[in-house]
Amino acid sequence: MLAPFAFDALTYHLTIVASWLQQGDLSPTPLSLCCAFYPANAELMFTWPVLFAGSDALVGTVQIGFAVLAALAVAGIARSAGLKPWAAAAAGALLVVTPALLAQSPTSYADVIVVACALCAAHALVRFAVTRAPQRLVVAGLAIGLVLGTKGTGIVWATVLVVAGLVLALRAGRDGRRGAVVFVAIALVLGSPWYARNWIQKGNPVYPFAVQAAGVAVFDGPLRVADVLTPSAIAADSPWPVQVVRSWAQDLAPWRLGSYDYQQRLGGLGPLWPWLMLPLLVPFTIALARRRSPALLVLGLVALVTLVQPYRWWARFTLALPAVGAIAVVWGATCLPRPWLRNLVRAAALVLALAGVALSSFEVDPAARADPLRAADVVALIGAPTSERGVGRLFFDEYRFLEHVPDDATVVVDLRAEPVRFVYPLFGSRHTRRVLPATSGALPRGAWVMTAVGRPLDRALRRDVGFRLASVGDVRVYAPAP
Amino acid sequence: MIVVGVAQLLLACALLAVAAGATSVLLRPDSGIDASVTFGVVAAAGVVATLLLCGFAGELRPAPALGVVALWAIASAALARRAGLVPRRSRLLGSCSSRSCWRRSPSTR
Repeated sequence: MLAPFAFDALTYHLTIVASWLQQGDLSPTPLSLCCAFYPANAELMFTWPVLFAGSDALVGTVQIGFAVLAALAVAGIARSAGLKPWAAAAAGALLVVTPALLAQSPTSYADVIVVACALCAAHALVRFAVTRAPQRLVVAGLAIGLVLGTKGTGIVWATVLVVAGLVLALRAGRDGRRGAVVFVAIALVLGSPWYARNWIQKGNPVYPFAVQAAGVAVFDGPLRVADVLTPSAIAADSPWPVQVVRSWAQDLAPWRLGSYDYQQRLGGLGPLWPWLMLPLLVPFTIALARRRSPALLVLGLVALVTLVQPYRWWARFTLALPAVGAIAVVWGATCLPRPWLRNLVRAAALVLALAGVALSSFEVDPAARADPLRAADVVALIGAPTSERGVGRLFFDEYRFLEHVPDDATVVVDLRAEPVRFVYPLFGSRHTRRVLPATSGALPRGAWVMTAVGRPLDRALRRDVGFRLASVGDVRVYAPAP
Repeated sequence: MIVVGVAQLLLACALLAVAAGATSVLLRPDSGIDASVTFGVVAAAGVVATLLLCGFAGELRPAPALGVVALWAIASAALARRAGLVPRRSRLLGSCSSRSCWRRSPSTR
């Protein structure tokens, strides 16, 4: 119904996809100054529907598929924890209604993909721990490779999961040792191509980030990781445990937040997390430990990754927490000693889950300083012409000029102009427009140009009789003169 | 144009489903849920591997990608058939409905 509208999707995830499809290969796009060298397995997933359908109409369904996969993995882990099939299904469903996950699923971000693959890997490792079947290590290796190649923070997940897999495999005898080699090889084959490309092209596998070890520069790069980390939206100067507690505390009374959005910076794990999941995780962990359940491995992995990764306060980076929390809630609803306690957990889980769903669904909040769109207005857009569903018409005014740009036009974009936030919409939904970065050379004949007021390009085009001003404001658009 | 695109996407997804399904059977999942997770992971890995192969070869177009997925589907289906693992309901679904299956796999019994 809606054209892609999420911030990172428009700045780089989908820009990379469109650029690849126009180039016909996977070389780094010149249209993303920040992120062209990031690992890009998620972008490959987004490429699949666009490549075959010839349009981005279905690109928003990709992460929905991974949300379902995450739910299946949670159900599998719940079964390994000893829960009945219907209870395991309920645990999977509870994860899917986590507000941060629910709001992000229809966008072209990568966090749902990361958590789904990490949970699948954890499920496969638990199954290997139980069955000792080496095939489970193959599945774990594939899932770890997907995580490693999807996002920089996936390195943390991949490292922890690989170490866990190796420990399990080495304890499993000769077959396990053979399986360990295959397991690591598969993870590297699927996850490392982006790092290998960067190493070949830039001499640094994690370009653009510099790497130092014990004060010694291992790899040179123009940025340090600390330069690009987003500070916490609350208590930014406090120690991380304070940031985490204050972020989680927002979910105690989520109606004060308004609607949950796809990159929710305050709270986001939903009211179920602080009210029910967190308290029940304690007795659940004790119960698993008493039974020496292999599912305990997953809790350990999730806790370790949450502690090691940089964004402990940010819901979209900690979606594995409600995954184990969902299993704890279902355990509480089925295994607590008193019937009234079990009924209380069931009723509370239902009410809190519904509150989370309502708060993440009653409107679409595009963030990025644009106004939200009410759910009823979104439904009313079914069947509306494409022009009425564009990001310029619905969310970002500065892109409204695209309604007048021909489908086969060339658009030159001034990437260093700060008010120009997004490149992707310039391609058009069927990627029929050619989009080029502005350079010091001559502009292509008949091109449209997007820049910002006061930029050298803006000053030059104002004097150029070959162009006319087509859009005023902080963002300046020039059309070819008739 | 739209019809061709949708038909192409459906064909690609059908081939992917066959390829991922046959590969999942070769990986001998131990229950219905495990089969679903295995299928999802293999399908996602297949999408990534196919597009990496085509993209790094400079052939990121529908036809080469369809060709790669078709080859994978044929090869994995043939392997599954040769190994006598043509999917049966008893293997893929419901073979682990009792709680004991979640503790020990059929292969370790």
